[in-house]
Amino acid sequence: MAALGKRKAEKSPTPSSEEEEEEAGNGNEVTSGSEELDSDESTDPEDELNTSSDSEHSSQPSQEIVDVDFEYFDPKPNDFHGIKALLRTYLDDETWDISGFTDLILAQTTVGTVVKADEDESPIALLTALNIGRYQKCSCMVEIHKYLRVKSAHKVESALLEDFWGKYAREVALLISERLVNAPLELAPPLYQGLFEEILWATEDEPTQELRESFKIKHYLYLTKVFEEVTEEKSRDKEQRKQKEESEATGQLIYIKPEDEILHELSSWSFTFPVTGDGAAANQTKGLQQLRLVMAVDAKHEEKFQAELKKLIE
Amino acid sequence: MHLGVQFENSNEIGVFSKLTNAYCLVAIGGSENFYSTFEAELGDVIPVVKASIAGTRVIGRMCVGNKNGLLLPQATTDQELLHIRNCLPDSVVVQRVDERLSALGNCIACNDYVSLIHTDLDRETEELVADVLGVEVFRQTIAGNILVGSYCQFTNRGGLVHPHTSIEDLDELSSLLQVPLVAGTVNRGSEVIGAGLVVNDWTAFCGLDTTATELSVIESVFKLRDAQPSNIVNEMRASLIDTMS
Repeated sequence: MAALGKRKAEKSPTPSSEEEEEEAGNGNEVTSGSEELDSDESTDPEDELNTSSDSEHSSQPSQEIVDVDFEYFDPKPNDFHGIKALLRTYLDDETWDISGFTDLILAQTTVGTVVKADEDESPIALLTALNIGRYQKCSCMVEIHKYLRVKSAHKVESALLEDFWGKYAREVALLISERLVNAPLELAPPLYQGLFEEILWATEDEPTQELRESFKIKHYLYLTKVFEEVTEEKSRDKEQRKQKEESEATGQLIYIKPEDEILHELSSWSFTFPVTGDGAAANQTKGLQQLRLVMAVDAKHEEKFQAELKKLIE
Repeated sequence: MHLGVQFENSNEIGVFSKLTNAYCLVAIGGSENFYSTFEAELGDVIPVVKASIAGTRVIGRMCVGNKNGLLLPQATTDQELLHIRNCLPDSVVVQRVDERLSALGNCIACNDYVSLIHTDLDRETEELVADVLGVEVFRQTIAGNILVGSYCQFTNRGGLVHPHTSIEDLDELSSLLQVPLVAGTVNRGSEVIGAGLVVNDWTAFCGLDTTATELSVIESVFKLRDAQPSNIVNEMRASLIDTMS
């Protein structure tokens, strides 16, 4: 993928982007696409920083504007530790083969993008898709399947999930999108655009027929984090003067990554389950309960999703 | 003999454990796997003790010890201190240290004869290290890093240091410590040796991510291939270090 500069008018070719252009083949198309987005993004980061700091410290004489350039790269072996860190809470506090999973993502050089502030820095965001049928036998995928099966037990969607791992496995891809909590929303459109394009090119460019077929994806299976609003009611037991707290879930979901809301609306089916373990306790905010959301999105909604995402940013 | 271990999905096992020739401390973790790996390997030779320090699980970085003694930070509670003292052999002196730099495991690296300490450590602490641990103390840096406990791990037979240590530094440290040293990594390229590896004279444990190359370096520098606990117990080794004035 080519570099996306926030305030650069001209594009200075870096060695990495040249290599990737050769690999991608159609790199030039991507370059022109991302240049169009430059003008949209050039004012947003500064606005975000100015408004947040102005409201709290209006008495301070000078505000520092930090200019950050985010660049998009193919995942490289050097990114192992960074990607592993992003995936650390993928299955909450299950003990599973995260290293193996990271290796799978790194091995798939044709599809998958990593966002970094600089080539030598740690990744800030990751987006990739792994065909379930292709990687089914890997121990990490088996562990993911087991985890989801356990969490979806007693739910209607359980049978649908089993089909995704069973008879439809070759047409389903596990969508993996992780990023640091404060990563800006503007990173998402080029990420998804890149993903869908890479998948399309892979259906044409991959060396074997089997691999080409594996990228003809009909459904995406997506596991993500959301919050749910929880109202608390306190009632007193008159006899013993005890305070009882009852919390009720309102069903109102709050999406950590804004594009998840669009994906959820377009999804064929979905279910949620509560988060277990230390991570949950650490992230407990009053009135919010952390949940995991699993959803299946039909691949034909790709364009609609990208259009909705673009509208969300503007 | 080396073993790959994980503590609740983390490969930084040196954070959650402390291994010496006389005892092994292990953090209280979610699954029993971590403890059982140590217990299975070491159980019949040295005591493997589950402990916490100051209510935390990062015991490997909070304490420092060898066969002679164990130093704990001031924040260690009385109960924790008592528990550790009870479980360890009587020959091991357990002492709390009042030191501003409380993560002793990051600031001090030692074997049974020599130790390296953080350049800013108090004089009193330095004396305590010399007394309780029975070692010769040297203030040093490793590849420009003052946290000597984090960036190296050495035993009576060999040592592994930060990968960016220069040849001159390696020679200097090696002559100070009187053991062969090698600059290398652990856990697939991690420079924080102290966090990724725990080792004594006959066994080493490292994170599961450690590559085969890293493992072979560790095996060769720590001379683990034909190491047996009885060799160490029966050996008597005179101190060979001259005082540097």
